[in-house]
Amino acid sequence: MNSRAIVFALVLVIAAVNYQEASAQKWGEVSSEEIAMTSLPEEPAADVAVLFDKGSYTFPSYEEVLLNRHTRIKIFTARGLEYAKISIPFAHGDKIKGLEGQVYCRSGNKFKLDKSQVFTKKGTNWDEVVFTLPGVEEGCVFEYRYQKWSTNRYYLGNWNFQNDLFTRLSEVTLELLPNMTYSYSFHPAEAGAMPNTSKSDAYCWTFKNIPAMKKEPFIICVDDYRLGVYFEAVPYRDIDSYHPKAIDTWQEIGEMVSAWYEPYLKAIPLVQDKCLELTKGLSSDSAKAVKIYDYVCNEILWDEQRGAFDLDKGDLEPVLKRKQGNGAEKNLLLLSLLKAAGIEAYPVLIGTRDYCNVLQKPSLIPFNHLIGYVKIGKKDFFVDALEKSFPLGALPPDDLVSSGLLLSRGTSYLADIRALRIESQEHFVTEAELLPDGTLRCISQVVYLGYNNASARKKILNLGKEDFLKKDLLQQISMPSVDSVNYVSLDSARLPLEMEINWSASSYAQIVGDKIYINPTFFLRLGSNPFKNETRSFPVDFSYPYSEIEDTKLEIPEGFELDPLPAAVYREIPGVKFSKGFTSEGRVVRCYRKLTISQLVFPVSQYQKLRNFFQDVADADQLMVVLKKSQS
Amino acid sequence: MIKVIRQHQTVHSSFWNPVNKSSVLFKGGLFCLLWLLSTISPFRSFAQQSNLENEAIDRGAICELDEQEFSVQGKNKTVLSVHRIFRIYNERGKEYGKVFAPLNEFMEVARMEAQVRSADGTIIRKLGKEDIQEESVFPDYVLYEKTRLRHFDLSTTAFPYTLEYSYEIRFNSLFFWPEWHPQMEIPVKRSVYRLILPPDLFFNMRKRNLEITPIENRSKGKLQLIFELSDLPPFKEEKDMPPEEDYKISVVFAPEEFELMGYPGSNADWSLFGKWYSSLASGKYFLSPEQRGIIQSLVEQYPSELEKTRQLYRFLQTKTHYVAIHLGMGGYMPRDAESVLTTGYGDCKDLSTLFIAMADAVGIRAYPALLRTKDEGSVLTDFPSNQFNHLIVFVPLEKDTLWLDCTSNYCPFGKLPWTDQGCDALVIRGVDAVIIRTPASRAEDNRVVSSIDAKLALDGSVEIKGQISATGNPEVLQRDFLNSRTTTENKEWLGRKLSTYSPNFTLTSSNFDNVSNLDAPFLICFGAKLIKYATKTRNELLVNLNLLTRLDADEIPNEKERKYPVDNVYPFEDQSQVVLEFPESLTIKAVPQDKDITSPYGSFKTHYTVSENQLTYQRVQIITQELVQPENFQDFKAFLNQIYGADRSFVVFNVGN
Repeated sequence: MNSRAIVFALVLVIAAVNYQEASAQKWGEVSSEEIAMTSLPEEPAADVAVLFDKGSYTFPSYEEVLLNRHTRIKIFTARGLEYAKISIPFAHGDKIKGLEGQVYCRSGNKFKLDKSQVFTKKGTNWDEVVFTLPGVEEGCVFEYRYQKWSTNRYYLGNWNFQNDLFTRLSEVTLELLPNMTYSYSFHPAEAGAMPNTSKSDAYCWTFKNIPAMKKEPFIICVDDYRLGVYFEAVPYRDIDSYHPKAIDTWQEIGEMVSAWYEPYLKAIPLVQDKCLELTKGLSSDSAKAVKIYDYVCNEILWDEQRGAFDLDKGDLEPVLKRKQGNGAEKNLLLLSLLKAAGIEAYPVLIGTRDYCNVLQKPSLIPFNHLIGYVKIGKKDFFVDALEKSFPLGALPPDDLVSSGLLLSRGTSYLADIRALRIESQEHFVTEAELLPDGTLRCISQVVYLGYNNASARKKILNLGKEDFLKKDLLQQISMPSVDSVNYVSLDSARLPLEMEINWSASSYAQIVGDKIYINPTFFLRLGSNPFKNETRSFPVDFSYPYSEIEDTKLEIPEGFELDPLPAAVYREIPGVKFSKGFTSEGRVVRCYRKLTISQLVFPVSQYQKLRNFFQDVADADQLMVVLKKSQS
Repeated sequence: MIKVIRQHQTVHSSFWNPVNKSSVLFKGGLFCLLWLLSTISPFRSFAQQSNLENEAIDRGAICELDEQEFSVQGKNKTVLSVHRIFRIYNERGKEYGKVFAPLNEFMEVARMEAQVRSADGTIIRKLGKEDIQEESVFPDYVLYEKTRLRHFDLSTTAFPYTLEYSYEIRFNSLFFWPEWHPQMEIPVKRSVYRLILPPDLFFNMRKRNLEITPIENRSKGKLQLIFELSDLPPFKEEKDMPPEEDYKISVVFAPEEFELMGYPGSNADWSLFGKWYSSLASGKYFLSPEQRGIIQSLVEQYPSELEKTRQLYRFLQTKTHYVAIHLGMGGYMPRDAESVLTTGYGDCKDLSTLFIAMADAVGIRAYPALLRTKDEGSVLTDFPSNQFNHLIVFVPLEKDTLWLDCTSNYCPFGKLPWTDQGCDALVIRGVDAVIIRTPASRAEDNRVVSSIDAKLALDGSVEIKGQISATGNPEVLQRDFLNSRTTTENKEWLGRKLSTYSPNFTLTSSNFDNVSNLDAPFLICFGAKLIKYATKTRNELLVNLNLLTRLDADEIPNEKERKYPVDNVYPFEDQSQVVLEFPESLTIKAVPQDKDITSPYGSFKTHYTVSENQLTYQRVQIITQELVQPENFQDFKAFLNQIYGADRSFVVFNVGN
């Protein structure tokens, strides 16, 4: 996450000399120890492990970059055989060459990968070379190596030292040509390590005994925490000069990028006409901004690509004509229309929360999305017209990052991102009647606000109304029967989504002897603690701040009386708050539950507190109201 | 044009009825006369117009026109032209703006055109070259296949709008004769399927869940057959229904003669179709002398054919694994046994070919058996054609007949995975091929037994130690599942399973040693602490003793009415026992009543026994019927509801003061 850490990165300016591999792992030289191993001392339960994964980036010319990669894997159990199916993804235009693979079995048998069994899959965003190693069996060792040729010298891609398997050794080297300047950045940033520089032109990073990546819930982007490094060419202000100056400040990066977006911000006639059409009769800038924003949100279809650096149309005419564009095109159209209306507006680059790259140093790599910054009088705010659920000034959850690069010729800078605070809530109010046979009859009013509103609408779209009710809303109710559902403003994304549900359930309450047991939290009950692990390796990410309220009024049947009600529960730690209370008046029991999450990211140091908090919530959500048959 | 429309029939009537050959065999001019005699059908719409519109708005779109034309232009040259018009009302229908056409060695996309019109008829978008993309596509279980999808997405936000598109696919074999599936997930106003055929083309046709007679025309020396339906309601899937293909309306076709990449074949009868597969597999059952030697030495100590076969199957299971790579004819033609054994991988037909070759090496006859797995629907046994998606092995021993699925590394010898059970398989014995049904399993074959010793603490936590064993289908499924994941993942899975009904848990022990060992019974052992498992009231602890095997609400189909059967996948038996030790300071206030329910679909029993500070809970659930017909649905649902209710009940302990 951009906000999480900002750590230095070194800029290396390197002169050419030869570099030789320091380590001894050679192609085909598999040791008898490797073949004889029956388990991994460092992780005895491992079914498979990476013995080593080595890569070196070199530059055959100033136009090409070559990655030589050699990986050796040990399979301990039959469960590990699946890992002999290999996929090597690569960008369109890159080339995979010289692929070889071989397998060494305990029996002494050796198998070579048949080149006719190597295939290339074509994808929309990238391609893949796929193959499976022949002759693999329990106890075998296999290795493969290949070259990846690319003309994208600017960004060499991520080298992940950490895999989904235990890795004994992972090593990457970077060997540069004279006058090349590259920077390196680690993720997570705090893992940043100086390279071994035994030779002056070659830089090598080696990590040993790296545990497999853990899967933990509540992580938006796990790769933020995967140990890795990426290399990025440092651009020059003047490549032909004898004294080139590296572009290594935010302002300079901004200056360079601004030029790319300028053609899209020019007031072409089509944009001007559209602006006039939209703002006709409107006098205030605020009203014009709202009108333009609503137009781009609602009328221009997002093709679900962000495309911050994927602009190939030259200007916005095709976007306006086809009423479709990627994220950058939509937002550039928004900014262009705003500017045409005389409103001050600038593009801003951000790295969304689901994009795994940490904002560490002046660079373009951490960005994947273009939004806007708008000034109207004394007010200023950030805008993103990708989705139509949010009002002007509110940002989608993925945009809730701390900073972005505001692009303005001459004055680009790293700006704090502030979003209009929108109240996000799920609110359930239920009037319930419990019959003596345990049947429950209810009318529930449901309201979704803010991000919860957008989220509920997406679920309805994906699941359909019927499944949304059954599989989402009423999932905790045993065998519900829905008599009617009324939706309010289902087709007006900006308005709160409201529902009224008439439902009943004959098996929800439990009758044991002369008692009825019923849990009056029907919708928002936490069945179990979402944080089951005793320890946590990575921070906890919540998608957005929100609160959830459930208010139930339960009328108990004639002939029954209440056992003492459960005691109220109140818990609070920084960032989260929970309360639940039970009261009764006459024959009506009221249960009011509220959970508020106001903090997005909880560092590992706060995990135990958070886990205990949710344990208390889960406990409180099991509390029952108990009714006893009246003696009279 | 005359529309011939009939309400679609319920499942089995049209599906299993013997085929009237005269109405489906097209042999030149003869069939037409016979056929026309039976074309008188009442004109009837599938649905009321206003209902269709309501459904369309609710589902986001309607298909105004689905028009397909399949033209046979030569022995190995056919063209499918598709023309569709969709009206998209809202975001829910947007997916119909995404259009896909496949291409591979056997088919190419010759043309793609599309446009979008706004509500007033103005063209707002036209398909451009830049809109068309192409990517590889195949199921996850296939490592590589040459098939790609050419696709575009002309969705817009200008609701309501009309998307009209057309494309053409050219095939280089009659083998690929597109079926007609007029029904969609949205209403369809008009669906037309036009066949343009040389008059001397012999082919077979089969109507599924529908009675329709095509209009016949002849012009320019061609025979034209037109199928047309209108006002089709959307196909609504029901929970746990059998494969949709068996219940959707469709018409399927098969040419009597075809040729695929130089391999001529025939659908005239099953033997001829089997012969075609034999020709593809011809020469593939070859092992090197060295390999034959290894195989022979494996079984030389076993005198009986049964034991030899068992050893071969075990060898295959340990030495090979499933990897599907389909290139050219690779989707249909097996690789040679020698290379399959050398590389240790292959798909179903590769591995079966290897097994047959190994069996041959030790003098045992084994045969390939083509199969349509149960999850994909049934085979039309009276309609010889390529309806298969899997290949297994049939071994007719002197005393036993064995069926072996060579893709399963963990299926016990002589058993089949559930997807292969009770299926009609085409057993190919050289020049002869016959349909034989594979064995089905009974409830007592598919048993899961769990036993747990539990200790309740005063804070409601429960410490458990237990084990789960399984036989039959659950055993195969669990072995396959657990062996396809790492040990760490298996522990996580077990933890989640044990803690399904607990606010939190700690897994204290787990043992999966027997999971990969086919020579030992399937057994998982575990220990865990279920934190605050019991629910507390002011002065009571409520403990549900069914810790693992509760029937959950989402497992019960809850439609008010049912059109299609409920598919229980296979009959099974679940036995569980929990022995709970509780602190002496607790007293039992209430224990749920024992249950003993018997129904035509199975039975359910629970029994509670109290002895000092120990409580024993026993539960047996048996489902005997694999398919429950719609007319019995309410009764079946009531049976499940009774189980559901019993599984929610709890023991009440008094905690005193």
